[in-house]
Amino acid sequence: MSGGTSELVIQLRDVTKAYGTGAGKTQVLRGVSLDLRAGEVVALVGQSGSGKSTLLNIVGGLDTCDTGQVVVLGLDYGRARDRELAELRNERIGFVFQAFNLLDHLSCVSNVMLPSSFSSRRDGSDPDRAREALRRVGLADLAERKPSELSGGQKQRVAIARAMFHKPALLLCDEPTGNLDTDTGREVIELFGDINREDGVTLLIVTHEERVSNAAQRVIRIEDGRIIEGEAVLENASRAERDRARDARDGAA
Amino acid sequence: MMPVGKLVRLVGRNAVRNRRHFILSGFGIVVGIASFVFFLALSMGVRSWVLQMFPIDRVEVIAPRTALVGALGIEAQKKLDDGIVKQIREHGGVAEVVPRMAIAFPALGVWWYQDTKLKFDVVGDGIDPAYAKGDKNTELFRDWEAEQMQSGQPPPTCGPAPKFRCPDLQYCDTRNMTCHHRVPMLVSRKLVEIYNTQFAKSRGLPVIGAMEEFIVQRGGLAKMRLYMDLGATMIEATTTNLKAPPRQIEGVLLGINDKAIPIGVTVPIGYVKRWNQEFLGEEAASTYSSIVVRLEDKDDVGPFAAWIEKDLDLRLQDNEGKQFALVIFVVTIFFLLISLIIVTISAINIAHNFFMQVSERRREIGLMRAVGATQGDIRAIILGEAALIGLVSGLAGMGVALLAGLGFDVVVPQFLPELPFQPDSLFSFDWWILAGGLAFSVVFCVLGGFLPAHKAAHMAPAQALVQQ
Repeated sequence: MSGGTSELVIQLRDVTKAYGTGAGKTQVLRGVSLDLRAGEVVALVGQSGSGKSTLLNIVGGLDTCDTGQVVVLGLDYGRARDRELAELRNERIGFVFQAFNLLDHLSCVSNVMLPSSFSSRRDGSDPDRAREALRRVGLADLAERKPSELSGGQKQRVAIARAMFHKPALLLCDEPTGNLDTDTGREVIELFGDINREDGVTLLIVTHEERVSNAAQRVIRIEDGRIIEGEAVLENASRAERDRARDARDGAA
Repeated sequence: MMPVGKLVRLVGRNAVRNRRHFILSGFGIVVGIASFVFFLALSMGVRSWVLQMFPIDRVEVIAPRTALVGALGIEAQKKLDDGIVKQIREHGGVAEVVPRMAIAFPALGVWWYQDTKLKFDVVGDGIDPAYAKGDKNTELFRDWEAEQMQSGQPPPTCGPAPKFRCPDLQYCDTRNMTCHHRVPMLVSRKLVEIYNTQFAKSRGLPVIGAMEEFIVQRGGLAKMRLYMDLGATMIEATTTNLKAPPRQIEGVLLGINDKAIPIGVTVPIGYVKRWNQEFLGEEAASTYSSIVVRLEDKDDVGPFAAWIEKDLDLRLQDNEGKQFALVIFVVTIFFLLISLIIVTISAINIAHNFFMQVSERRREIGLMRAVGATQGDIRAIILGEAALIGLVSGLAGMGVALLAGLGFDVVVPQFLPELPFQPDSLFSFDWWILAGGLAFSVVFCVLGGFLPAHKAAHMAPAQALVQQ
């Protein structure tokens, strides 16, 4: 996969997140700081419950952090309104989930077009663009099929086509090969590589599979809510922040 | 915020997908709206029917009898004259003022009907012909005698004895052998009802259905002869001092009119003034028996009644229409409350169904948030689906109500006693009732969907997406 430009796509500073309250409180993220440059392909790895999916959801604006700062594609989530966040997710961020999350009652082409339902763009060529996105993932012939008629790999390709519908700058993938066999998983990884090379899309992939992390330019290992390896670039970060990140890594090690 | 067109498409697609849920949710609303529209249209229909007979915006001012010196048995009555008429006419909110003058002396009526000579003491009054103008069968309701006098021409003379013939619809006044137009007369529905239910039954006479048909069957208006002996009576105890000897005139019964006196006959007021002058003098010819007042707004009846009593020392005649309207109002409110309860329960059912739907569709809602839906979009989708249920159920409810009304009109009269003046339909499906029913349905469904929509909009997308 190709290298990236120097523009920062993701900036996290001292991000914390806990679920529950009182004795049942679980601290999921403990002061995570992270920078991603445009065009990078980064794998976020760690064991189950390490906080990698929560971190991905916070980056995607699907969840909120308790403290810290999250700036994605220039939007400071702490100051953004719901409409601005929704617009960012709609046009500049694509999501690929382990469970595909396709709507069973819609055809493939309608699933791919779903983001257009929430866009104020008046573009009569939506179906054509959706078919083009399907063609790109190799499913041009299955455009009118329902998800229930597809294999797991095909479903994930439809989900990727949907994520790419508005040509986003950032693709967030949560265990994208988790439900796929080895060969299909490899095809999906290759597809991500193509997207990164041809469109310059930044990819942050949550995975626990080595073959996926091997394909990434950078691997960030997270454990118990802390980044312990593949430290962030931390541009514009203060010396104290860099020290904290290093301490966190060393402490975890 | 997503564009309206896209919202409508999405809502429509969801409705088709969840049609079973939609039908279950909408069933109660259909029943509720159907009963709402049915009962409202029925009560409005019956109300307009009743008010046609007893207009509520028309009140009748009368002068109450007051005992001046109770012990001596002396009674006095305030005089209703042109001065009072003028005062009422100039009062704000009054649209029309029509004085009525009673025939204040005895008169004996004779009517040949079905070869039976019916004799009766006549009760009657006079009204301005302009008051009945435009109503059915009132073309001949004119003061023919006054017109004859104003023309300056002498009336035609009667034919030679013994037949004393005159042109059609005229009679011969044997005092001076001149022809005069028969006095046009109107009767009320109530009088005909009393005749049908009381008089005809006990004497084996046919009932009067449609008055026009009745007149045609008996040879037209020319055969509708009613003789009146002015100044004569069957009641022996009568002590009225008359200034003129009895004389006979002829009348022509034109038909039924709601403006006629309830029991008796109504003629143009000019006749009554001249007759009262002839038999009783000036006082009787300038005293009205009542004054009919039509108000611009029926809601002004209360203040008008207060003014009449306080400032003019008069009062309003009890209005049967008002009492009927009150009964109909109470019954309407009762049925509307039942409809309201049905629709409210249905709205709660919708809320329950939507809460379940929102729980079942958590993942879908999370996905929509992930691909760019705002909280407002999610709220709009759920409320849009609720509104669609309301719209479709409301339309279905209206259809059911219209069909039920049609069936009611066909079936129910067969089980009711004969009512000669029953309207073709007891229902009044006015546009505002249908529009109100539809709006009512949509509003209640949207209210039912409000809390589930709020819950869906505030669902954390990340947690919604991991639902199993």
